[in-house]
Amino acid sequence: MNFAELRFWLLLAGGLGLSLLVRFAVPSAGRERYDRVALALVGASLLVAVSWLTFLVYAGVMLVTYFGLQWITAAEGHRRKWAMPLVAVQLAPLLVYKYGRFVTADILGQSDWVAADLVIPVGISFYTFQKVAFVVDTLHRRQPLPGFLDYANFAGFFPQIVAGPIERREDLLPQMEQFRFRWNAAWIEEGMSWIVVGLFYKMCLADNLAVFLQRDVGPNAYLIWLNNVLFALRIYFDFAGYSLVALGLGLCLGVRLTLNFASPYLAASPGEFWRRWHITLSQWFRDYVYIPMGGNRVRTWALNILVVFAVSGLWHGAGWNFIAWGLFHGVLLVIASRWWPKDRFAWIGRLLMLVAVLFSWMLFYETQTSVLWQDIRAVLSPVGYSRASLDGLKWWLGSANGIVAMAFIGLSGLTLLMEARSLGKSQAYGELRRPWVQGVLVVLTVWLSPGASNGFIYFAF
Amino acid sequence: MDSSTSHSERWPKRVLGLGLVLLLAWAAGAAYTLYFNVEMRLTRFMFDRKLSWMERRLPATNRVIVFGGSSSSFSISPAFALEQGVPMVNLGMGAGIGARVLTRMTLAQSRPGDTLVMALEPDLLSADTAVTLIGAQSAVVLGHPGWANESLDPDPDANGTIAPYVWALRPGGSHVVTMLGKLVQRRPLYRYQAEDFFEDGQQQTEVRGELGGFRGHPAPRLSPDGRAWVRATRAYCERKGLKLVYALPWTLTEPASEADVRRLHAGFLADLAQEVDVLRDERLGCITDRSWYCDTRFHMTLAGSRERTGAMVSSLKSGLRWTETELRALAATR
Repeated sequence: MNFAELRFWLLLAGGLGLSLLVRFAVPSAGRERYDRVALALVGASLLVAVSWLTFLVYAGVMLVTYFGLQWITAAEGHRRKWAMPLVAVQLAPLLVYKYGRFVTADILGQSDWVAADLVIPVGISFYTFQKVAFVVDTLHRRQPLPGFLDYANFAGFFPQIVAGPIERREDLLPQMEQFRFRWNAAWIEEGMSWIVVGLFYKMCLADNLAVFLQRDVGPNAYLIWLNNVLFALRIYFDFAGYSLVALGLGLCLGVRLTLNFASPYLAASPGEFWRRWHITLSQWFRDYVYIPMGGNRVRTWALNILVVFAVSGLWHGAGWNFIAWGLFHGVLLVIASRWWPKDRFAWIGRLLMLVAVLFSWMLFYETQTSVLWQDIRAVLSPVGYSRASLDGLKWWLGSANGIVAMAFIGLSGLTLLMEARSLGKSQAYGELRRPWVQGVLVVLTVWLSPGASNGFIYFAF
Repeated sequence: MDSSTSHSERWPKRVLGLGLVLLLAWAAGAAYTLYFNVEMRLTRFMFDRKLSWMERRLPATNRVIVFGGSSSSFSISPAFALEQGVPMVNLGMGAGIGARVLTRMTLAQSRPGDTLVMALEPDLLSADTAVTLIGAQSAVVLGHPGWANESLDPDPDANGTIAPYVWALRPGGSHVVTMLGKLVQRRPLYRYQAEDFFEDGQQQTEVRGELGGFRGHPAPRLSPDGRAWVRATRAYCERKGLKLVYALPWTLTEPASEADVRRLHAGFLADLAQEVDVLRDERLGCITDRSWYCDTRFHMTLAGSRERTGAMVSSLKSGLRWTETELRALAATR
């Protein structure tokens, strides 16, 4: 379900077109139910189009969640102790597929075990977390189990199933229960404006920036920082791009999803950054891990934060570097809770945060430990900033690739400035959704998209 | 569909407007790509020039067809090979066209009995071989959009869906920025021109640059996708009665890194030798003489190209191939 591929849009148009054609043959009284059935079928078909493995694993987790919950809620009281085992069963496919290789090959050193060679089903991290939250919300808040069809649409709403936002029961389920195919020009216009921004982020900015990320640049601190900038921009425009298209697609269908990003690189502190970056995941960890551990009301609050961020790192990828990335942000948050420049020094906080985030992306993208250590040493030691390193940077910036990369970094900077203006007016991404800007974005996307088949980074998580 | 006109007009006019902008932008991009893009115009010219040599000067079969990126275009001299008694054509084009389209455009010209020398740059086989934007554009401009189909089947007559070719008719970010930069600097829009091509299709240039030799970064590695492509090409050639060999392009190498680069190249070729015959070349693609290169570390001068062509002709005549064992031993040499 790659929004950047023409195939997705053709399949979606075909699926929705067929659904609407059949709808004409359905009696008025039956259309209410038909719409929800058709939505579920379109979603399932799009998952099958990704791969059968993706669909089957998704369907397995979905069915186990629903019927497990049904069994538990059917007998109030004594079966509640089965809540945790149900969550464990929900998490089992995620643990096997995503962490099988890490545990068997990286920790146990058994690279020939079957688990070391599994392909991760697309979206498994996202829909598993959404369903875990569903189980906890349903049991903890003693809410009724919805009908299976509404639950299936909640669990498999196609715009958000493979890369979020991770929606909560109270936000998405009521919309699924009320879902109808409606023609509403206002929704479609608003939805399309998000789609245009999202596709511009992904196809024009992220995909072009991805071309220039250099691997293993040696102990040249300048080039490593340049890589960090390129990756920071790429991953943001890639993931935010996906999320904005998902938001727009949802709106076109009359469903309002959660805004998953709010200009995170403009954050002035670590706490603010995590309230702006992958918002629904941050909220998930806060509500289902951090607060149950005692949150900030216990003496071990700092340890709680580190645990949450280590797990968050592991959620992003099965590797030591991802754990290190999570811990780095955890430590940053702990430090910031005691000291961080604020008020008239907020600009220093903003600058510090930006440097810290850029540094942290190095831990994220460099999966080879030896290269990562080399990069960290280069960035932290004066030797990395030698005259030869500077010459290396100058040479690259003067090359054809360097010039094109700088042009796209410039375009990205301009886009971030427009985000800042939007925030100033309390309208997230508002400047980019103005009609004339949208026209420019369409032209830029058509003309500048590199055409390389870059999957969304977060599909791998 | 239920209508909710109470809080909205009937047609989303803004969306229709954006759709119109999309269509116009694409149409302008397509017109530019097909008629004004200097790179595509030169691609068409060079391909015609190379085919013309093949038709006029080579026999109908038992020909040697060398293909790859621009390293081939610069370093192989068919006229010199012909003097040595080898009927050769140089189908080297731009490396940006990518492995799949370069291979298919060659297979489309081949006949049973021909020997195909795959001289694709290691970079083209070290990563994903998916069709590039330039590859798809070239296929369309040359009148064979099917060459850009996304399958792993090298058959040049296979056709895919039309959508990717249609979407490929856009300039792309790298091209637009490069052209704008050249316009601002009042430099020629493209470094190469029709006058750079000899009658035999070999390319040369007067441009000279300060060249840095290859130091072994990034190390060439045969990717799973590259391996699959080479394997599929070999199978196709076997079915069609074509001989396929791989020849590593000659790359300007830093003298201090020569030993390392030789080992890396040997390792890369050992992986390739599992899939296809590898033409023996004692230099293992490492050249330290800068005077053999013009504007990049892959583009050879006339002097360099005579050495390269002579070595290739000699290996082809003698039928010498590397074995995987020999290459593994060279890769392990300290």
